Amino acid sequence: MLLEINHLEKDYRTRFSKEVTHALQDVDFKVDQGEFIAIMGESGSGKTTLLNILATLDKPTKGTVILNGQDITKIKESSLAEFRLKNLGFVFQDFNLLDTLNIRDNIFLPLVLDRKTYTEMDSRLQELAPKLGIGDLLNKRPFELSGGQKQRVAIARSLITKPQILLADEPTAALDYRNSEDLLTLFEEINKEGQTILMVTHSANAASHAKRVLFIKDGRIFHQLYRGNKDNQEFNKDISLAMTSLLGGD
Amino acid sequence: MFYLKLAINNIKQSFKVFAPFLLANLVLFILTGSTLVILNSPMSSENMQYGIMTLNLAIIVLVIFAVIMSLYSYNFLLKQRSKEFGLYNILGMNKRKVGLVATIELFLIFLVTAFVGSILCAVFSNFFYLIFARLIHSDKLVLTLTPLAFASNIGIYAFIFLFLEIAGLRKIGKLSPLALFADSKAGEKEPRGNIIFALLGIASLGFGYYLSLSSSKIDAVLVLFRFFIAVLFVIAGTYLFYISFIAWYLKRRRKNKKYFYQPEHFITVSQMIFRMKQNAVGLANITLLAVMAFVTIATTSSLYTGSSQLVSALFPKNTNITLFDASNKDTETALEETILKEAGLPNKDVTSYKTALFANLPLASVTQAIIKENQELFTADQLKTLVNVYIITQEDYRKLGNDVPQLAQKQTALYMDNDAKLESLDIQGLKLDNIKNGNIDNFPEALQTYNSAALVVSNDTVFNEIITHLAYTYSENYDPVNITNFIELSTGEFKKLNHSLDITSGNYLRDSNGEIIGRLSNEKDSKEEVVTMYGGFLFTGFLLGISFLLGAALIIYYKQYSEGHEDKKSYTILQEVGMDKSQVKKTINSQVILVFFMPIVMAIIHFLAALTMLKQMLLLFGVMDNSLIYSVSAISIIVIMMIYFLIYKITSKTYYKIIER
Repeated sequence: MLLEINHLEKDYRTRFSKEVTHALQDVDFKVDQGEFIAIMGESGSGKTTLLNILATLDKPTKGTVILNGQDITKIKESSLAEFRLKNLGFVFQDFNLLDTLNIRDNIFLPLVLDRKTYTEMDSRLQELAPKLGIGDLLNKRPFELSGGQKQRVAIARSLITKPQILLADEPTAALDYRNSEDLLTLFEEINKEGQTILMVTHSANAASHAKRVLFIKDGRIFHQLYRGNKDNQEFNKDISLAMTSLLGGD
Repeated sequence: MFYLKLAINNIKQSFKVFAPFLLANLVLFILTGSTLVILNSPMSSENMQYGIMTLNLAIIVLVIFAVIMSLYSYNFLLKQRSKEFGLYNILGMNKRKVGLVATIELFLIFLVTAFVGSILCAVFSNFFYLIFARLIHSDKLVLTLTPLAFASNIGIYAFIFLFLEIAGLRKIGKLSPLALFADSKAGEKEPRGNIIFALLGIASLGFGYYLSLSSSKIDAVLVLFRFFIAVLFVIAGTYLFYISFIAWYLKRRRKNKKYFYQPEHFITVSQMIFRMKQNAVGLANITLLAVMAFVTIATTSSLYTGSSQLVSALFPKNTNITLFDASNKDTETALEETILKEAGLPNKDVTSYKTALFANLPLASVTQAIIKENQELFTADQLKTLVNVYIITQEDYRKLGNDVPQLAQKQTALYMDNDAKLESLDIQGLKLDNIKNGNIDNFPEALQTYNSAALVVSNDTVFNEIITHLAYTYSENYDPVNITNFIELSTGEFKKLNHSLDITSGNYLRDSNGEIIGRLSNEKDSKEEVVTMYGGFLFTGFLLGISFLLGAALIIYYKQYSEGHEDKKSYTILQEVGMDKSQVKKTINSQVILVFFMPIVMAIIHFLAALTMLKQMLLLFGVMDNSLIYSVSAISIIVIMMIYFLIYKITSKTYYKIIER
């Protein structure tokens, strides 16, 4: 078992009222090594809160998150950055590349923070770049790239640390259909090579590339679908069906 | 009415951007206003008029400076708000109406500046006046607030704001709503860091420095010219240094993989490259303003403190009576016969000596001096040998407390501040041996004459012989010989003397035929004179220094403000990627400190290099005490550094607030 999420709860209290919002209630699931999970829900469903807790950017009110036997909700503030650096990879919807660095250096960033040598960084990049199709972009700067290219660079940056889990927050939200499809296919390929991926999304199409889909509403996980042997299109139909019937969604 | 409400609302909403603009205008308004009030206040004495002379200059510089600074900050204001204006435009307000809103805003700011400024001006001008009166040792401590001063100050600022209005409307006219919404961050290219410009910058800085450092032995009037050239080179060099050299240097650092790929350098170097691009001009401006503050404050304080020292050295005894056209008079009895007897004062304890001044004799840095009529001295090397020479006998020179070796008939001794290595003289065939070269110690004449020397001769015969041989240097009826007398007089005696004499302006003495026969001066009056004059200088330097620092502070504030917004995102990303908060903070700190203290360090280096020249130019005003100049400079540097640090503390708070929000 790679990751165990046990009875997670998160309450928010607004500053001026005593009303408590339950962002997460009794969220409980497990993730195996090599899984590709999509967490689906509408905005306000609590999916981003869940991701933030898994990313150690936020702490739960109750419950534990065990990664490889370690409760990551108990890690001290001072060691959190290092923990993230060594164990987690992030892909954001708006790419979050630094404008002041070129593409190569953007990808190197986490390794530089981890004090790896240039030779080591370079050899990891040589391995990664052709897979992601970014070999000829390395000397460019972020503003010269299209959205799809930027997102592939962001993936390279998250994979170069060889993370235990790749966390993706609406990675296709800022991309058009074709680029989204390319990106999701890329995720499938990376996953096939053994990378565990946990993706938060509101799009059924994006979720249909995952192996398992968790549905979240009002802070609770109340349904899940396994792909089994279905292809993307069939799985997409199942997901859409589940959404309309269960979430009462669009 | 709607537009007025909108304008008021805008100012309230974006007070953070309006505040420094308003504050800068207020401070400059108060500074010019107070100066105008002091200028227009009725003066107690003639002496005070002397001190006020430089205030006119202060007003001119302040107004020019106010135009530049308010234009700068208004431009910044408009830039910050271009998105807002674009939104109005898209929502259906045409450019004329956007212009109207901007005009109302500007007018409101003007009203506040004029109203609050005038009230504060009435308060602060008294404070400034007290400083001014103290500096010029005036006993008139009450300032009259004349309405004219306030009216003209408001008038000046009305013009400045009119200027801003025109500049603003032009800018709004050029705006395109689409451009307003374009992402301002997108596509910023890397700065060039051109090696040629980088080297050019270093070279022109180096040349400017060289001009200063090499001028320790150059004529002060020439130094004035060199100073001007050096200033131009240093200004150009400073801009190029920030624009090209630093980018070039940082890029070189980035190429060094071992250095660059370390967490301590990685973010700092890559961000600094861009930060320098956006800030190069601002940093150069801050540097130059700081240098200006250094130079004005240090030189005027040196002048002020040096001047009273100078006067003390000028008066071995408290009263000086110099008699002109004294070739045929006897040194010992001349004063008694022409002046003292008539005034009924006893001839007690008078130090009298005879001198003859000859301008531009080639005595410096030569071993053999040949002086003859129609001598052609044109090359720079020849011109360097020229000094203004006082001829004096050994007996007289000793009276002033100097050690002179016993001189035989045809022997001389040369005293000057540097480069004396004279062995022999030939003055139109009169051959003399110079047996001693030394520095000038006690010789009041030398303090009053720039680039001067004392040629000490054996006796009156040789003294008169030289004068005859050099007669070709002046017109027929001119007598180059003066008898200088120093005498210690009580206030009563001095009054008595004053009464008996026919004294005209400039303290010249006239005989019964109205011919000028000499000049009377005393230590107390002279001191007052220089103190009022240099007190005015110092006050002006103080006013200008403050406003230059204010300008620097304003640029710094804007820099921090705009950078804060730009850096915010970068630091969020860094935290998400895996940099911890303390590391992020350290990175921010190191950059802020570097960007902040680079200009002041650079300014100090500029200033230190300029000191050599400043010292030479201060010589023109008789300030010769180097240790005084150094200590005054050191104090100015420390005080300005402290003010600068204060500015840093206040403005970086704004920066961190934005970053951490």
